[in-house]
Amino acid sequence: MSNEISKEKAEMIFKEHSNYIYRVALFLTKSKELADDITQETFIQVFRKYYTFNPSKPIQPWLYKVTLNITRNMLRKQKWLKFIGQLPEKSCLNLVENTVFKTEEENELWREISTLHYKSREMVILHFYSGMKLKEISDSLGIPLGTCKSRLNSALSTLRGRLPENDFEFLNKGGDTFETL
Amino acid sequence: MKPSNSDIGIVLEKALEHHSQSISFESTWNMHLNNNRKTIKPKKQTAIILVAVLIFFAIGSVAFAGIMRNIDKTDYPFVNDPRVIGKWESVDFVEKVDDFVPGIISWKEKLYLSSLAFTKQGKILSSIENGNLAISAVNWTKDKVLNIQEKTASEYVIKKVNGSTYMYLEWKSGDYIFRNMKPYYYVLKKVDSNDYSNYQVAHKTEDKIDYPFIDDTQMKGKWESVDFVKTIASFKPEVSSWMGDLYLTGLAVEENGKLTVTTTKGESSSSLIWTKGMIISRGNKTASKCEVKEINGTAYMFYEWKSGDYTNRGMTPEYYVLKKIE
Repeated sequence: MSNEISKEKAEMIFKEHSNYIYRVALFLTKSKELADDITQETFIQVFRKYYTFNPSKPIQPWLYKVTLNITRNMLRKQKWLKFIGQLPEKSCLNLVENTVFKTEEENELWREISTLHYKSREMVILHFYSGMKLKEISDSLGIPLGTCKSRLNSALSTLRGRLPENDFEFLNKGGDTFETL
Repeated sequence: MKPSNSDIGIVLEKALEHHSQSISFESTWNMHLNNNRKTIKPKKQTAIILVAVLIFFAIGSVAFAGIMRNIDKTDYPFVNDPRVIGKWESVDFVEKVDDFVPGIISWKEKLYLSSLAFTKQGKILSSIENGNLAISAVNWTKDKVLNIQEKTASEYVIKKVNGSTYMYLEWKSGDYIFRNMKPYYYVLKKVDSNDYSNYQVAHKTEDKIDYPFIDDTQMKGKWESVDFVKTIASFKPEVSSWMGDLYLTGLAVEENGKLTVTTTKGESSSSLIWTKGMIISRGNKTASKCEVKEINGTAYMFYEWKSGDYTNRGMTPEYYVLKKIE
């Protein structure tokens, strides 16, 4: 195939994005093993389907689209495995055991973010961590822009409700990428 | 990739910065080249197989039952057996012939089959749940009771125990036909040796049948049987609730009340006629309700099936469901 990805190009994409992909998967699944599986599966698919990618566009939304699809499929499989008793219940991984937050407010904010619902966490990680614009998120998730706005709004409302004493700027104004809300 | 510099972005960055993936590019690239996905772990493999088997059984059970049902040879010639002629009353229902002990009822529930009367011509009258004797759809020949419609041949054994004569009759229900289970035995005690060939069934339901012909374009046309259901409301186009063969296979509803019926035995222009909302049998003196309904763009006819269970036993009729094909 003429548009097949070269090894050099593949390695470049892998080096640049694999840790970000891994961290998004880790944040969504709270499992290191699953996050590794998702990262590997994502790149295998990306390399295989690279010929469908339009190089004139940014690669990030496409990468996340693949990642999010694989993550959802993996989580669905995990639910089945749990259902049929092939997977023991695991306690959630503590992602921040080696992290020192500057303030108690940051610590509290992290705690609340990490307990948001899956769809809210998807929005928060893509928008505030990966820096994606809402239009890009809407493309990656395959949902309308309005739904994206509503999901992000709902996530922030939840955080506002849970953190009434904290005066985080993003809760009042939104982050610097919070451009269209 | 540039992270956001908002508070929330900073918190996320701090929380996740210590975490890195542990896979190598080389291994991922090689897997891509070999077009060989990550090996499925044995536990996952077992789970996938188990799920596939569960899905297979869930989806395929009805079709499987229909295809893999037991079919006995039923075309035996009639051979007389003078021992069997007469009336027999059920006394027990046992797993094995040897389980029966006279005077002790091992079956704790009510016996469905109450009695049988074997006639000299190979016919059988039956009584269900203490009802009256009525003509049944089964015949007999020496050592066998034959149900041509259900395609079962049940063997019987006659034994004398403590001076009484007992028949041990294999009961080939749906458990045998569709689930391949070993049949249980009805134990019947002989009460007389009379010939019931001329027995007058005590109860026969007769409907009003002198209805005038009223044309109905909805009913006219060719119809093909797709199901047999207890009630009209229980029919679901995508699910077949009747696991056996459908005896009535089709109807051709023609002009001026003419009706051609097709069954598994072939086509016949019978004594049936039709009028708006009804099929009338002059021979059996029954008037069956017929309702045409459109479901998902397809016309279905629900035809009240008034068999001997209705005329002779007074049971509530069920419905043939027929799909319009022409």
